[in-house]
Amino acid sequence: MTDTTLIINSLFLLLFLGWSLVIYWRHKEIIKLEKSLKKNEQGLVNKAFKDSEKLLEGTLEKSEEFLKENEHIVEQIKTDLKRTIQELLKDNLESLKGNSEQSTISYKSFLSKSQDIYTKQLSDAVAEMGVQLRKQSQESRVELDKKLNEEYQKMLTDIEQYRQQKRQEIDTNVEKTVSEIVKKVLPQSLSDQDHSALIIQALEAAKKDGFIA
Amino acid sequence: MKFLKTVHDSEVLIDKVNYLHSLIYKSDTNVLKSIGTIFSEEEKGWLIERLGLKGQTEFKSATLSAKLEQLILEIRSLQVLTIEVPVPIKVKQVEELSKWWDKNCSTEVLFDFVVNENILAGAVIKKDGKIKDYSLASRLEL
Repeated sequence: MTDTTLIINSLFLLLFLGWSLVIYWRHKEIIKLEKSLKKNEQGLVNKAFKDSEKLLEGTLEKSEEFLKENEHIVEQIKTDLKRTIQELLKDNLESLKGNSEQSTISYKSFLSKSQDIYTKQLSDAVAEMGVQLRKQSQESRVELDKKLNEEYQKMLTDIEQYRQQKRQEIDTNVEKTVSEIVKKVLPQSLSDQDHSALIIQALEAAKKDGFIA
Repeated sequence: MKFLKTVHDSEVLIDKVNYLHSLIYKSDTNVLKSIGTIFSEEEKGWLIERLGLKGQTEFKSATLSAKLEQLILEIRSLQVLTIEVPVPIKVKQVEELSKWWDKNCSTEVLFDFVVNENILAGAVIKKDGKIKDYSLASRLEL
């Protein structure tokens, strides 16, 4: 083995060792980054789920409160209606005194039926409102779940993109650093004799290629 | 001009020749004596031979002036081989490379060493506008 070959082999060995160190360092960096990303990712997902659950619970509570309030109003209206009809009956009974008993009974029956019809219509309307509200809440929940899922998928894609970008950045930085280190260290680590031998080897190659004569 | 190895050497020689040229028309200076003080032994031998002054004690100013100008042109027309190297080259290394050149190549060239730390080791050789990269950096694709 000639001196030049020995020098070249030593250089390759030195570079191989350098690259091994760099690859190890890069691997460590990537593992560290992935751990940190996973932790952040889990945190973000948990927070999103908690927030959405809270939002849904809040919406349902509001709906229930609204329905209860409506039931209360219905009861109030029923009472008011009953009282109004009774007052109306009382006032009109005086004016009906001269009429036949049959007419009075008919009038009372009419008022009572009217009260029943109004009360039923009111109850039906409130019940329908409750059904619609619950239906809407359910639909909102499904819609929210769908949106949440879409956001989650988007977030996963974003995280993957971010991860790829960070890996690329690490690769570029590592290559740049290694290149800088090699450029600074290698020329200085060779003796004048080594450099001369390598330059002569270059001249020999140039002569062999017919570049110089 | 075997004593000329690098572009730097040629520039120094041209400066010396120019200086000698400037002395030709000075009446108070002995030009022939000045040659011995300005040039090295090797250069002196070459110069006296090229100027046809061997054994001469007198010369014609105009003839000498024309010959010196011709010499400068000759020096300037020497072929230059630019060699990019990763670290500055020392005098001993220049001698070593010149020896290799004289032994292996028939043409006369002046080395122009240019430092380029990016090549790491080896050399990039440039001649007549063409480049050949024999550096370690190119082999490693850095």
